[in-house]
Amino acid sequence: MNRGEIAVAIIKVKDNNPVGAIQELLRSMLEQGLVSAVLVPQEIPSHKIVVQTLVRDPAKLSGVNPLAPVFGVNSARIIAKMCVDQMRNTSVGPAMAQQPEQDQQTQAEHAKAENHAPEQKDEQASKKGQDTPGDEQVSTVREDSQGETQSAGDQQPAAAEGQPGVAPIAVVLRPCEIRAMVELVKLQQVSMDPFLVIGIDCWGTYSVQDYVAKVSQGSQDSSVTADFLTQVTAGNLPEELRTACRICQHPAPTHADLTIQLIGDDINQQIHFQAQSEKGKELFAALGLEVTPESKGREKAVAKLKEDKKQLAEQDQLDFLDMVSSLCINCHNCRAVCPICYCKQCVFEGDVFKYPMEKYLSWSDKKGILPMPPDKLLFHLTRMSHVATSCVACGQCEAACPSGIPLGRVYHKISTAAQAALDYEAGRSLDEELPLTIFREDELSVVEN
Amino acid sequence: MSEEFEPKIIAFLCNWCSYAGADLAGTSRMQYPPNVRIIRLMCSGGLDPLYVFRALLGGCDGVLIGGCHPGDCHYTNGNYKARRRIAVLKSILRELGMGEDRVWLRWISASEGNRFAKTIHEIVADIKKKGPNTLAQSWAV
Repeated sequence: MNRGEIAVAIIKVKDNNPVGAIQELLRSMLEQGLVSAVLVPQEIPSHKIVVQTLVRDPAKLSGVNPLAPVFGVNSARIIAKMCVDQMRNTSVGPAMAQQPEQDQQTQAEHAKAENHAPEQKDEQASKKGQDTPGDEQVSTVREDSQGETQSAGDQQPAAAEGQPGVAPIAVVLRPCEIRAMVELVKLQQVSMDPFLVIGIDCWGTYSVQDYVAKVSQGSQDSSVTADFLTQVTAGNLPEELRTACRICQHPAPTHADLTIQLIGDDINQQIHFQAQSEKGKELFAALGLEVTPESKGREKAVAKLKEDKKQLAEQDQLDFLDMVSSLCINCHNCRAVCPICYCKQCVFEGDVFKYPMEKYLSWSDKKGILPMPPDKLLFHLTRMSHVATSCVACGQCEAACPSGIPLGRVYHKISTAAQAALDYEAGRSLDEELPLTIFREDELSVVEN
Repeated sequence: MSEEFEPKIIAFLCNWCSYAGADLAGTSRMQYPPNVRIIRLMCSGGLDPLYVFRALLGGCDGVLIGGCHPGDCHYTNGNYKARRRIAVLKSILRELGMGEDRVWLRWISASEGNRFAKTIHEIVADIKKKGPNTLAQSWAV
């Protein structure tokens, strides 16, 4: 993405209704065939809740409301589901990297990979190259595949870029959803190619329960969305925001082709619409939008919002270990909704965690008593160590927890620490390699004690 | 009963260096405390943090992960990757207040029997100072 070439337009808002302006924008994209479909949150007919919808008929966009402060699923997970076939057909992937013919195919790419990973000692690689297990190749193939996925996958049905005639699928996402999507691209679960990512500024969201309660309490002539927007644009963050949102440091989307910018604007008058990539700029031009200067108040308003939320994060202290052992019911819902937990079979569903009866009895024998089921804390710690480097702290794990364990806060804490230790930030860049697939020779000496 | 506290230590040692180092310590009849239980891995890079957590939650007082010296990995760079994984593991232990100082990562080559023995001496002395792993004291964890 070339940051130097950013195009901005102002979208006028009619009747104090920014949601309507966004609806219009999406409708014109779909009507003109600039996008083949739109994935966007939409009010269900009873207006009780907002769900993600995939829309192809421009007439079916009347319930669109991406500004509703509710966040039922992390859409990166939905997008990964949509990409299942495509990723299967992609010939570059960790699962296939160990096959010899694959190695030949990607030899050139390997060579290239070596070049932009100078920290890997070349002479070392050649000296012990024959003994190298799959692991090392996985890392090099992975790092290259981001750019090469499209050319490698001949059977990809709808790769938008470079294939004229196939319009991309517009996906309207919150910042944390885009960041999760970026991580999933690196984890070989998602391809960016079929999608036109429309990022949307986010002040935070309510839990589904809180949102539904607010809707049912509300009167006919006010909407939860409008009330919320009035409150946050005045600089007040509602108390009831989800904890993950209350401490979130990413209110503005990155890695979007287009962004709908609300923070810092008088959104009842106008919103800013920005193209950040080539794909976005093409669409910008096709819509005939007039280029204007960037939003003036935005940078400052975003910084202030971050600062407010940072202070909330620092107030946090909690006894996670005690909470897990007392509250966790071992349902694994947190894993089911996590956008980063992508394994087809979790280690906790495998044979490692199927024990014979004698095993339970011998564990119980140690202290005379054993909590059942065992491994509750072990599950959480393991899941943390597996996702910490890619966790975007979207807080869906907390929303899914039937016992109300504040997982969102805990994951925010541990993922921040783990990513800082490896000088990485989940969702920051498509080009940065996954931190556990690479290394530097001179680093982390503090770990060796 | 005033028996001295004898820590239990699990050592995950790589097949090519650290395990051979431990073997050398044994065959050379070097003395080191009998508190360590060794589990052999093919590579320190293949250790899922899961097993370290399991050891700590299961009541062991310290965990040693032994790998080849940097640059000497039998699989080119598994030990470098292990180091990153241990960094993640330690940051989780630290953030949750679970005693990151009970996990050791050491590079021990096949010829360093003495280094292995010295490492075990050090770890045992250190854990004796720290006392037992409190994490596993309550049955509810």
